[in-house]
This record gives sequence, C-alpha cells and structure tokens, in this order.
Amino acid sequence: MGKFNVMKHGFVPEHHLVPKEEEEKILKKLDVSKQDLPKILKTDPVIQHMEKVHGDIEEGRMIEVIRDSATAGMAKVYRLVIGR
Amino acid sequence: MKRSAGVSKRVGSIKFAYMSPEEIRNLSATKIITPDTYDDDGFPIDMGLMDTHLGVIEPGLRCKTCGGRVDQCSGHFGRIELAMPVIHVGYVKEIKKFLRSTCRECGKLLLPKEEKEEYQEQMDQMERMGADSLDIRKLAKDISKKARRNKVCPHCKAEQQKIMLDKPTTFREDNTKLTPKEVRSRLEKIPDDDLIPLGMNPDVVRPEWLVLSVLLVPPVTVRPSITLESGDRSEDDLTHKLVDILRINQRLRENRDIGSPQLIVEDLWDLLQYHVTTYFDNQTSGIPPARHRSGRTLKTLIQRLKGKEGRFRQNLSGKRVNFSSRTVISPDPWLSINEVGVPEKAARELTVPLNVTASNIEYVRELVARGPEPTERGNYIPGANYIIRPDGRRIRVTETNAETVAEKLEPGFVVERELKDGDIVLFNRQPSLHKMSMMAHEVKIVPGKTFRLNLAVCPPYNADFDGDEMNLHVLQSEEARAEAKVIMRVQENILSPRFGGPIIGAIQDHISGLFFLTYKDPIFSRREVVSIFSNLVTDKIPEPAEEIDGNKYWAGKDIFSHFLPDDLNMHFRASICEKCDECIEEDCEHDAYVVIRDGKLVTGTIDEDAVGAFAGNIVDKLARDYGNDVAREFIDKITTIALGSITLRGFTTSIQDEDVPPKATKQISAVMDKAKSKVRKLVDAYQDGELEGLPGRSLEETLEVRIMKELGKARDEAGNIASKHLGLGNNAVVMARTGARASMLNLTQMAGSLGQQAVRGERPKRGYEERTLAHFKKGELGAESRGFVKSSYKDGLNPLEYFFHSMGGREGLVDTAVRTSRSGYMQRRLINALEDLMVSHDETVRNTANTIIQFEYGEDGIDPQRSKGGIAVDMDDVMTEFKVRKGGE
Ligand SMILES: [Mg+2]
Ligand SMILES: [Zn+2]
Ligand SMILES: [Zn+2]
Ligand SMILES: [Zn+2]
Repeated sequence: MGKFNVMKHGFVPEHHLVPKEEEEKILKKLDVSKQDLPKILKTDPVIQHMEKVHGDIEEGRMIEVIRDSATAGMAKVYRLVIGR
Repeated sequence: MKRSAGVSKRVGSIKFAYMSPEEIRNLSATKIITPDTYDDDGFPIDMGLMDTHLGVIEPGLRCKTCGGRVDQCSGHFGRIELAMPVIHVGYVKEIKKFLRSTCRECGKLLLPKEEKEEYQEQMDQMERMGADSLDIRKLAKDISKKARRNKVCPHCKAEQQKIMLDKPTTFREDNTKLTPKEVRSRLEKIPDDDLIPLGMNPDVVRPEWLVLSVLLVPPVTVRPSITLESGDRSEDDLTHKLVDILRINQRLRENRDIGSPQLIVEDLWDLLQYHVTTYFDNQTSGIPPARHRSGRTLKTLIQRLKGKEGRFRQNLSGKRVNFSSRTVISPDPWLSINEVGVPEKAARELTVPLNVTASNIEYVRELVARGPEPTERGNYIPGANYIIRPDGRRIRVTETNAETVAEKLEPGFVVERELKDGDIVLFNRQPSLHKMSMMAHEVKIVPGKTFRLNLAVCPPYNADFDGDEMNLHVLQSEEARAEAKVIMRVQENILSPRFGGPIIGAIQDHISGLFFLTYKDPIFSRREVVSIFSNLVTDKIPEPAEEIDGNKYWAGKDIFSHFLPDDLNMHFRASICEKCDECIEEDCEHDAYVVIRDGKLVTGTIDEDAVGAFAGNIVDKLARDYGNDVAREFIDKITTIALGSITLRGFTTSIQDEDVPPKATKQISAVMDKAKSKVRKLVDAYQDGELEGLPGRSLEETLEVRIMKELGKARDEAGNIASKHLGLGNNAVVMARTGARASMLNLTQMAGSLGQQAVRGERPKRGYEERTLAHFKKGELGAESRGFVKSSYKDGLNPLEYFFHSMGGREGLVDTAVRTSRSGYMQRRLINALEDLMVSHDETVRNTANTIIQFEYGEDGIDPQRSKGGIAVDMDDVMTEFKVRKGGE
C-alpha cells in the first residue's frame, strides 16, 4: 500500500483544484449553486493525493475533472469537496 | 386496517435481521396447537390454523384480536411451538460457517485473541466507512476460512473435528450426526464478541436463532381457503403444509414425553425437519418435494416469491392492465404508418371515457341510445358500454336499457364509448428494447380478428407476420392523448435516437418495386401508369414524358419525382453502386449515382440507400429538413407506388436464379482444386520443416493462418466467378444488390461454394484423436479434413461437408441464444439504473433526488434523434445546400 499512485491509473481522469477566485465565474457559467454540484469526498484517494501537492483541501472547495468524452471529445465537470 | 391520513415520512434506513423466538412469541396473536381447522358446523377451531385470532376471511365474522371485519383486519401472525428444534433451510450456509469457525468445546472463535481483535477492528472500520454489505460478507468469509484452519482451539486447546453438511439440513461431525439441538447449543456457546468478525451484529442477532424452536404462522389472509361450488372447502397449500407440521409436532411431543425408543423419536424428528424445510422451500435439492394427493407439488413460501410467476415479477414489477388487448398482427399496406387496424371485436370491448357536458350531451345521448353493438348499413359504428354516474356507480348499457339510460344522462356523467376511427392508442411489441417499441397510432376499425399495421413500421417493432402478437392500450385521459400524439406518434419516431437516422422506411418488396420503377428510367403506357397509381386515389397522375404515335408515355423517374418536394437537392451513391475505382458520379453507366435537382430525380436508381428503413437518405433528409408530416406522407405514398410498380411487373425468385453456365461451374471447380493443392503444398512444407513462421506466431499458427487465407481467397474467387453470371436481370440479384433482402454472399454460397466452416474462429480440429472424424488419418491437416466445404448449397453437400457445416451452424445457434439472454439481462440492469434520470429545464441531467448527473445532456447537449448518425452537424449537407443557393442567385 502507498506506492500505488491512483492519478496514474488509466481510468482516473485529470483532476485540478479550482482556484477560489475562479469558483464564482464557473458557477455562474453553469448556472448552478455550489450545493448543486456533484460531490467528492475529502477522503477520496484522489483528493488525498492532491493534498500532497496543494496542502490541505478544505471542504467546500471545487475540483475540476477533465474527462475524455465520446460525444464532446473532452468534457469538464466539477465536484464539491465534502467531509463525511 | 385503519389508514391515518396525511402523514408522510422519509424512510431513514431499513435493517434486515433474523427473528428471535421471543420476537415471534410477542408478535403472535395465538399459539396454534391442533392440526384441525374447522369444526362440524364449519366454524374455525380455537388454536387451530384458521383461529379467528389470526384474522378473518369470511364476511360476517369478526377478528378476535382487533375486532375488525374482513375488509378492516389484514390479519395477525400466530405461532407453533416446536417439540424439538429444527434447522432453518434458508440459513444452513450461515450455520455451517459458525460451526466450522468456532470451538466445539468453548464456543470461541478459532483465532488467537490478538488476531480476533484485529479483525474486530477491521469490521468496525468497514461498518464506519459504510462499506458494501457484499464486502463485509466477503471479509467475514475470509476470516471464517482462516479460523477453520486451526485444528486445535487456541483458547481451551480442544481438538476440532471436521464438520460436514449433508444437504440440505443434516450436519455431521466426524461421521456422527449432530442433532439440531446440539447445533443449537453449540451456537449458543459462541460469545457475543466473537460474532463481529464473522459478520454478525450481536446487538441485533444471535446465531442460535437460526435453529428454529418456534415457527411463525402467517395470518389466514395470506393463505385463504376457498369454498368450491359443491360446498367443500379447499385449503391453501401453506395451510396444508402447516397441518403436516402440526401433526408430526404433536406425535413427536407425545412420543418424547412417554419415553418412546430413541429410534422412533429420531424418525419423527427427521420428519418434522422435512416438513418445516419444505414449508419454506419445496424445491430444496436433495429431498423429494411435498405433493398434493393429486400428485401436484405444493407451492410453499419460496415458490410464492421466486421466478417469473412469483410475487415479484408477476405482481410487483408488472401487472395486468385494463383498456388493453392483444392479438396476432398482419400486414396492411393501404394503412398509413400512423394508423393501426383494430378488429371490430376488440373495438367493441375497448372504450374511451367521454365526459358529458352541456355542449356534447345530444351526441352522447344518441351514442348511448344506440346500445352496445350498433351498426349502420352493416358497418361498424361506435356505441357505449358503460355510463358512470357522478357518485361513481357504473351502469352497463344493454340492448334493453339503452334508450332509458340515454334519457337519464346529465352533464357530469361519464360515458365509456367504444373505439372509433381516429382514436389515439399505444401499440407495443415485446421485447420493448427501445422507445420505438411502443408508439402511438390512430385507430382504423377493420374486419377480421388481427391487428393490422403498415409494413414500414415493422423495423422499429422488429415485427414480422409469422404469428407475432402485439399489445394495444387505449389512452384514458385528454392529457395522455395529447402527450402521446406529440411525442409518441409513429411519424415523430421516423428518425431513431439510436443511430441518428431513419428507422422507418421502405423494406423488401418496396425496395425492389422502386428499383424497377427507376432503374435505367423505364417508360410506362397510360394503362400501366394508372395501374401503378391505382391505390393512391388522392394523387393526380403527373405530366407524361413523351408522346409516340399519339400515345403518351411516362418515365419511371418522373413518377418517383412526383412525390419529392420541389426544392429538394441531393446526391449520393445508391446501394447498387459497384464501387468503381473512380466514381464518375452523374455519368455512372450503372445508373448508381443518385442526383436529385429541384425535386426531380435526374439520374440514379432508388433503392435501400434512398428510401430504406435503416439507410434511406431521402427519408432522412425529408424528416430532418421538411418535417415529420412530409416524411410520413412520402413514406406512405412511395411504398404504395412501389407495390403498384412491383405488382405491374410481377416478381418471383427460385433456385434457378442461382444457375450459372457449365463453363463457370468448371472454372469454380478448378479454383477449388487449385486451392486444395496449395493447401497440400503448405502442409507438406510444414511437415518437412520448410515453412517459415510469421512474426509472433508459432509454426502451427502460421500454417493455419496461411491455409485460412488461401481457402478464403478461393471462396471469394468462386463467388466472383458466379457473380459474373448473376446480373441485375436476375431477381435474386436485384434483391441482394438493392438491399431488399439477402446478400451476394448468400447467392454465391448457393451458386459457387460454401467455403471454410469455422468453430470458434478456427478450422474445426477436435473430435477424434488427432483428427476431426474417423475417416481421416491421424494428424491429417488438409482442407477436406478440417471443414472446407467445396460444394455449393445447390450442388448439395457430401456427408463429411454436411457434418462440418452442422458444426459451424450449431455454434452460431448457441452463440445467439447465449448472447440474447445475456445482453437482455445487461440491458435490463442498465435501464433500471438509468430510468429515473431526466433532462431538467436548465438542461442538466438530474436524478429523482435532484442531484446533477451531467451538466449537459450527453456532455455535448445533442439530441441524438436530431443528430446525423450521432454527429451534430451534417457538413456535407450544409455544403450542398450552400452551393445550390449560391448557384440559384
Ligand atoms: Mg416473428
Ligand atoms: Zn384483526
Ligand atoms: Zn475452545
Ligand atoms: Zn458508379
């Protein structure tokens, strides 16, 4: 355990931490409130790995996930970090 | 049962656990001791199986527990105190797990203390993290497996013995039988703490409860008796089984109490176990099912729930519905695709509710006064079957009361009117795999006993007429009718969201018919044109193309163009295109390049790629650019014209269509012989060790690949030789090339050669030792011995070829059987998971909890039904339109 890097797994898409100042712009574009976003657990292995880079990622931060899409080529989706 | 009004709460959680004997006793309204049910006067016996404490099934009686009548009391449970404990069949696996992983002496888990605590912690953690119950079960299983390996108890040092389960319910330890009583006392010894690593929560459950000492008896309402016409009572299967249990229980108790020989007691005990086991599941393997006197097997608890006819699939997932009917389907080319033919007999039973108002009361009065089966000059006209008064009372309209009932009608009444032409109904064919399996049609009343439908709607339903049946549902509200008409009507489903193209269009003879109408632009005399148009009374015949000797002649392409919009511009390759190296488009000598200029078919032949149900370019373009009304009218008309054309010419096919000249047969034979000798040479080379291996393959694989390639080439060559003699003057070829039916491969297999048969993608190789059949030498690798079929279907196969052909055929059959069942189940699970997702007003995809699943539908926001083959914009078409418009200026 520990040696395995989830980010390098072929099925795990790109994740980025959204800078706080960009959050509002994105939410406005999506026309949703923050609570409407799909959730990601703070304990998620991806978040835990990202914390090694960004330091503590507190609840309420937004994560941008960039996925390959069969229809759109590439799709950006967003997650809200929540605790349990 | 009283219903409290207006209180609704969300279910927080559901916990499943076993029932304790104590819980069963508290739940039960009475103890059941006697196997007798009713006394001589027909009243339920106290403490019998029909005791009125358990609820009542006869009107007039009152429940002794709650005082309710038949429709007020839903029944209460009772209990049977078992003289000796018995194993619960449903839990034998669990019991085995507990017995094997705990000590026979002290009852503790067979793991050292530290290890046990570690697992306890692991279980706790999984519980806290909300792990899947499957994962928890798996961990428990692993722990149990580990514990089982300890042959000596780490706590009391007692030696453990192997515990075996004799299916279904007998446990043995080192070949001595463990009685349920012993099993129970062992389970009782297991300390609470040791249950956690084994996946059991001691706060809720104890393992000894898995051995029954009290049996819960379901309320009488669950197993009602029925009174036959003769006055005899017939009991439910469950009651029969419970009577058996009570009888044996009584005898067992008596024999035990008077101290009968151990052997007799044990026999009775086993019998009790048998009855309790079959009470739960009468299909337990290893024991004979309990039967009725008549020999019918009893339907006990599990049988009530399980399988297709079980409670879940029969009564909960799907139910019977009113206002629906089902019958055989047959074709009717003169109906519109939007219509469905409903036989009079069905139309008389199916009704639409009419609300009586001041403005329609005259009409409705007349309707009701007609009675239930009115006709007009021998023809069907709708009547009324029922009227429903504002108080909800239903009155059947009969021949005799029709007039008086009609008089009584007032606004506020509802009249159930029989079906008439133009009513909107839903039409459906199982398996309902996509949304086009259920579409809205307009009713057309027809004579006979079958539903009729236009042939162009066969593809979406996947229907044919070899005995297929379909269901029809009559919509009952204005809202439902409006919704069905706007989104479910056949014409709204011409374009399929499955692949972004038409799924409704010409098939089979439609395509052949249009081929003969348009290929190389034939001309037709006045008589012929009238014949072609004769089923299309609404259309005027277009202007003739030429006049010879004072007689007018019409061109086939003009007749087709008559049905195209005036501003239509298209060009594409037809299905009969020979894929020349360089396409000369409009000048194609095979008339295979379709050009439509300002609504006129200039060149090209109309076939599957123009109007077909899956590939029709014109249908696609019309539905997309001109709307569904235009596309529907186009399909209705050209299919009718196609049938006019093919009936005029006449059309048939026979085995003679696959005749080729003797010269060609000889050529084919030569090709085959050459291929066979090449295979022989390859085999020789392989055996002499001269064959060179292909990169990444063994010599054996190389040989197989090269032989397959050689024989494949031979079949293609034979096919080409045969094809050369099979031109478009041949009806079978017309069908294959236009896409109406069958393929050129089918024809060459009839005229030329069948070619190599394959099993699992390889040449057949198994059967006898180192050979496929006893007719060959061991190690034989030649073409004939490995399933190459030189003959054609027409020549007939020799016995060896016939056998290999059967091998390939059988594989195909098994494959499709396996594939359909598996993919059906996969689709079912997928649909169950996705069925409640929807696109909401802000264009996000959300589930019923209103959480976002996708920010944009399909990530690109494209409606696949409006896409062109899944792609949002059809650039080719845009460019064509652009050129046309620019050229026009
Ligand atoms: Mg069929
Ligand atoms: Zn009651
Ligand atoms: Zn022990
Ligand atoms: Zn061509």
